[in-house]
Amino acid sequence: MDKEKLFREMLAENRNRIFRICCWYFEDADERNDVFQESLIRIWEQLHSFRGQSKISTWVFRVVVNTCLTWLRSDKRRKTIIESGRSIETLQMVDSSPADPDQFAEEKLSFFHRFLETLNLADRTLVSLYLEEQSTKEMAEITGLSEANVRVKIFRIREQIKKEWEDKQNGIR
Amino acid sequence: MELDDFRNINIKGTPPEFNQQEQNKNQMDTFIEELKAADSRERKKIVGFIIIFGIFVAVYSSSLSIHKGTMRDGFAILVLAFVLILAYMLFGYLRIKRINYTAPTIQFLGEAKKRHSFMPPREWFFVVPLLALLIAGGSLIVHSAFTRYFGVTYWPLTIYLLFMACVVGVGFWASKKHWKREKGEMLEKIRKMQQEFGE
Repeated sequence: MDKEKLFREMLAENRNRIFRICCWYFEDADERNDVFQESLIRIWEQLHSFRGQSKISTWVFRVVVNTCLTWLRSDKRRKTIIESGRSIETLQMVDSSPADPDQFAEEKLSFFHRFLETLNLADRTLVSLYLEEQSTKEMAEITGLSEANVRVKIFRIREQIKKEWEDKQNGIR
Repeated sequence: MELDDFRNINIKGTPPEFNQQEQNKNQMDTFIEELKAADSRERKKIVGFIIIFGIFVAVYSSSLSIHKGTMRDGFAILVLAFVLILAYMLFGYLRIKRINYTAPTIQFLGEAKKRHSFMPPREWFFVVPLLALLIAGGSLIVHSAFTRYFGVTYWPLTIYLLFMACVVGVGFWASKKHWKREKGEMLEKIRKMQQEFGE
């Protein structure tokens, strides 16, 4: 398949997912856009190396995660990783609690962002991939961690978020 | 609450390109055109570099016929050193352009660490022979030039070698300082990332 066609297909399928992943790493809207664009450039540059041995989304996410990490450590970086809840402004919950949809969704999202801030980069990467419905095997392929390690980390994160939410609801935090 | 609850997060602020299919069809085409143009510029840059490199070597090599004996040998060694320097620069440029973003994160970070380290073994492999060639070529030229006018004397050569030792020492110190300023912090960040990924 020719490069341009493959690129267009990849983009049609994954552009929102790519952008969402960038959103979990960067607070600033302009920076997200820059990293999103940079990711597309990297994908274009490396597309010749895609051999179809893995799903294209897995391959694409590798490039995106590596681009985000490169950006995080580079001089281009203007701001630090999500330091406040400002990124909440650009994301919204599609479905929410029936009782008080907007407020509840907002509260959950705000909590989630604060929760993400407490995670290290590896865990945050796994969360961003998990939210894009990547399997344990795919997450392992993307990060280079073992499947067992991914499983353990995700399990811990799930337990942690559940506990912290309960604590929050019980007014402990 | 479960982590899975957040799988339903949607983007309100959309990606910067191609938001709405109709309007952005042209934007997408433009973007792809830009990418293709960048590819083409890249190819031209490398071809240009090779042409300049070729011209440089040809001109410099032709000057060899002016000199004779040891002097000529000295210039020949310098030509060889410059050829290697240019080849090394081209190699370095291509290496930077060919960073493998498709590698798993842990491997990617490992490669980044190697790339940004100060004088990794690979660099020594190039730099030491290059310096040796430059110093050897220069020594032959200096020695033969001074011998021609002042008879056999080793003082100029000694001074030249001391001068070169200072140049290499200062160069090493300055490049380390420069590296520390430019890459030190970045390398630290990479190390921290590696730790977070359990490396």
